[in-house]
Amino acid sequence: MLFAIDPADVRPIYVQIMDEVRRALVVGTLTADDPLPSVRQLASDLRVNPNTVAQAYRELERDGVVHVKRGQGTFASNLNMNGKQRRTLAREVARRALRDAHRNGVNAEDLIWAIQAAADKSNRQAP
Amino acid sequence: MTQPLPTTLQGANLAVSTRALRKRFGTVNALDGLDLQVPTGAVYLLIGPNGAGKSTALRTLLDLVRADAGSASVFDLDTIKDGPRIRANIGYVPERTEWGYPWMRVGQLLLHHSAYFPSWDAAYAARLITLFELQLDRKLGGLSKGQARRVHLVVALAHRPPLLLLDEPIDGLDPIIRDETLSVLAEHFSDTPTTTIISTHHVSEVESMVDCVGAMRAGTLRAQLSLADLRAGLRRYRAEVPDGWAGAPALNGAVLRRAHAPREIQWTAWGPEAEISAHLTQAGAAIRDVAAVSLNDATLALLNPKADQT
Amino acid sequence: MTTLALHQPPTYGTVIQQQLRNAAGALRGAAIGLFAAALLFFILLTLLQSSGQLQGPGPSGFNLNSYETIPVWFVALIAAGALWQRDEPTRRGYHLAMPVNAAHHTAMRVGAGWAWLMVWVAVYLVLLCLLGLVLTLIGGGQFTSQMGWWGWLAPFAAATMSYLLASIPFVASEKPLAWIVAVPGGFVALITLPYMFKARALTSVLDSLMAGPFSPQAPFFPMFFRMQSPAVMGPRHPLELDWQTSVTAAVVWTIIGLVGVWLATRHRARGAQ
Repeated sequence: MLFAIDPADVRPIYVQIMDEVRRALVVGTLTADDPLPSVRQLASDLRVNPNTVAQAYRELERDGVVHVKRGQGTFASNLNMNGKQRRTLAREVARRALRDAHRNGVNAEDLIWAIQAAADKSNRQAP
Repeated sequence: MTQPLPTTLQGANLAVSTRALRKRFGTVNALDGLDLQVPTGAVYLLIGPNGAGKSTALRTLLDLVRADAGSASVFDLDTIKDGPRIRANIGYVPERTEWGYPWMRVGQLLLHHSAYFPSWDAAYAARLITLFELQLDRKLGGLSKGQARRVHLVVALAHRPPLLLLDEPIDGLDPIIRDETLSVLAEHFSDTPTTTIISTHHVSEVESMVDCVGAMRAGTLRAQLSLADLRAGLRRYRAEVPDGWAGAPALNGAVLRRAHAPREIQWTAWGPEAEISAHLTQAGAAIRDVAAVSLNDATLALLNPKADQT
Repeated sequence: MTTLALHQPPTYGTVIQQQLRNAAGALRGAAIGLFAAALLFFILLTLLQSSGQLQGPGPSGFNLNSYETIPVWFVALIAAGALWQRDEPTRRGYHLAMPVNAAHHTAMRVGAGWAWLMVWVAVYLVLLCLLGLVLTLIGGGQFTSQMGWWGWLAPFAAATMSYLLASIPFVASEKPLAWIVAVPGGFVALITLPYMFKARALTSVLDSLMAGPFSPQAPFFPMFFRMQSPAVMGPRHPLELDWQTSVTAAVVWTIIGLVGVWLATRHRARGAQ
């Protein structure tokens, strides 16, 4: 799996790492019992402080998204991705979109209407 | 009521602390009452304009510069009394690139250095040499800025010191080596328990490694706080305001950076978001957007000479 | 404070060993240059001798005496300079940032340079003897030596004193060469003036000073223990340094040099290192 983080993002870096793991689980690039990169490896790859990666992994473990096998590393847990995780991710995406909308003077209702319209359009084109 | 910028890291277990450090060079106050507090294990970023005293502060810890007043300690040892012991525990990348003996070859310098630092990890040094593509038979005096910097990095890291003082460590490096260096540093922090002070103008490049920030100006700290606190407390507010808006007097002292346009403001302010937002709304501004600021923008705000707080 | 395992500084034995190695590196260029120059000079003399052009009016042969050691003080100056080349106090950060007491570290470096200088002087004396042997083999005559035990030691003492005195500005000053030119130059000017203006009271004091161990010529020319004073110094006192005075001078000026170096090692540069 590949991670993308942005230091300028509103979210702290450890949250971004958590979101990236969730995203990978939802889209399927990370499946149950897949190993996650080691803290050292990920810190080095992302050029971030290893403490930050460790914090992200700790929080993910607490949320049950990953589990630690002693001496072997961190692994993705077997979760129902259609459920809670997907909704968590959707909420985060929605929050971001709402913020963006507000900045552009668009209210929530207009945004929902626009999303629905755009989804209909892409659905018509897709099949 | 507005809150002043924090300048003390309370409750932290400090690896480095200075108390009211003063140093005058001729007519210039290089250090003017510096109270540096670096928690053990932290990556501490020292920011400030040129001449703010950042390098002098680092050199005081090595006892290369002796303060006129105040004191400094590293791992609870006094920098003047225990200089040799402290220096045995410091890896230092100097800002200047002439460092070491110009007639010496890179390989000789590494050997020489390893003898002075009994904790030298030869295997690690060899790995860094390969990674940084160092040519061991080159003379130090003939190295380019970037090559010299890489030699200094190896020399500073290879004995795995508990304290790293990095004065512009990535300045003069090409983008590829710069990126490689940051990766090496991240790995180093994983492998070795290290407290690090980085002084650099390349703020955005090191942002994701930093735990604490010290903003220095004119020899003193204008702000000193954890990055988490900085991210939580410093926000950029964009708002629409009526014509001829009188401003928000209640926020005097909290706004560090202001940008105005007709009927629109963009302020960077310090304080709890709810409180600042409430003051803005009360004053008649319609807040459109509240955003976290990047460390680079935070730097500009913290060091803004025209800020309300002085 | 955590129970962090702090690293230990190196032992002084290690530092001395490193400084000896370092000094060898710093002095390498100068050593090669000086050795080449000496060799060239000796070859030239040998060639002149074999073509018969070196024969003076007197009896042939080779008389090793204290005059042959004049170059030693100059060599000592070069050694001090080479050891601190491009390493003025404000550029000495690397040396001073090492985990060793800064003053001790500097002193050890001076000592390491001195050790190599002694090797140089020994090599020089060996070369001189070889030259004497070669010249007498070619030109015939006797290879004699007027040097007593002190004559053999004098070059080492002269080198030591010149080296210590020259090290003071190299250790402590940003512009050591200016000091090295200005101090002896100023001194000569100062002692010449009383003679030029025939200030009798002053010249007699100076004359007696010149004859004793505090003579400023003593540190640089202790090997001249039979040297006649220059004519400007006045004819009344044939200013000779007998060997006892010369030995005393060596001791006195070595102590002055050591104190000077010790003070210099404690000097801290004002600006950035």
